[in-house]
Amino acid sequence: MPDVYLKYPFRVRLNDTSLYVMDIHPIDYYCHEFSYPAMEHKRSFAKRGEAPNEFLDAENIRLDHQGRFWVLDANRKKIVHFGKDNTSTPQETIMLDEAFIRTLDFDLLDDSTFIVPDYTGLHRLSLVNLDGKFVRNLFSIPASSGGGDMSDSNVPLAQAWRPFLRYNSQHGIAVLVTQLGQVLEIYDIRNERIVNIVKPIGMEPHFVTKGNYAVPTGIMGYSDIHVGRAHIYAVFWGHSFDDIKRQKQTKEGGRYIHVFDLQGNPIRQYLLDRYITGFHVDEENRKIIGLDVNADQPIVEYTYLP
Amino acid sequence: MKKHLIVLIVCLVAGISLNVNLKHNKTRSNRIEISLDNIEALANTEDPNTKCLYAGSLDCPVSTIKVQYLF
Repeated sequence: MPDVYLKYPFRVRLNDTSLYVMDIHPIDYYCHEFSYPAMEHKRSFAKRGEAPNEFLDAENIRLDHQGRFWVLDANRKKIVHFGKDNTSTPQETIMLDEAFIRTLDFDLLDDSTFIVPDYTGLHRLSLVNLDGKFVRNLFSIPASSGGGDMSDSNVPLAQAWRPFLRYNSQHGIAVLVTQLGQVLEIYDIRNERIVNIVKPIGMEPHFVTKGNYAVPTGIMGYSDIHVGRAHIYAVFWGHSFDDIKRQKQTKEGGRYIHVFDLQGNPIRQYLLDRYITGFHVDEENRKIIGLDVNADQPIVEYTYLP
Repeated sequence: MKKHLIVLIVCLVAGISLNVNLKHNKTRSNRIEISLDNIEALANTEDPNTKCLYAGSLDCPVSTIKVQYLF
């Protein structure tokens, strides 16, 4: 167990013998690297603060094919990468196009392009180059009419449909899941086509509009997504906001992992003994590393059946 | 003998009082920690009609802090 205090760990990535954890409510640093499986602390980086090289937020972390570590700071509108050996200084900072309204997540399409969703609500995904400039838009939010109070702006709709994203470059499939509903969106990015929108009846995000904001009234849905070789894995909470407000549900995280094939057909569901917020899926070794923010020991590891 | 008994009683009362006080402070410390989270989220709320509460993973539309719920 690391001797680093993690208040609200939300993302975890494993790369050979390094485990990276992102904390969204840190005291000092958003990201930490540990040796794996010894779990000895190696370094902390993405320092919280307002200085030029510091961070006001961390939405997600990614590792590229070269093992470089990337972090998205939505509040500072930047994607930053750190080298393997450099302890704290970013090697490159990409300032994102001002046209984006809060970039919510990101993944690497290839060596020169990112995929991002944002809050403009005019489209579902955008492609961004290494200069941070917008390249093109893809798809639109798959909301049925009447999903919530609609205003003239698309921003509340985009807020209500806040997604988490994962792309797998092996087969070109990107999957989005909604945080405020039970919707799974599968897109074939190479051919720019919708594969499937998995949307159980009544499980779209529910919300009311207050001014230019969406206030969720339904459930906390998915919080993390993994797209593997042949399966999609998603962490599902299923907590209603009524229960959260009345403190009937006090745990943060989900106990369910929904598994689908790449066409969106449900395969199985795992029920965990912990509530996790984020996970890393190692299909080769049939292992899931999860993050339990409710426990003093927040990093948990499961093995699973094929 | 009577004098010793009085001193013993005084020490016992002082000990119990100190113990109760320490427990009270510990509880208060926890409350302060929880309250600070609330204040942190509320202090950044620009729109008085929208409230964001507690540390969580939800984007609060009126602040930069992620929260447990909003209304």
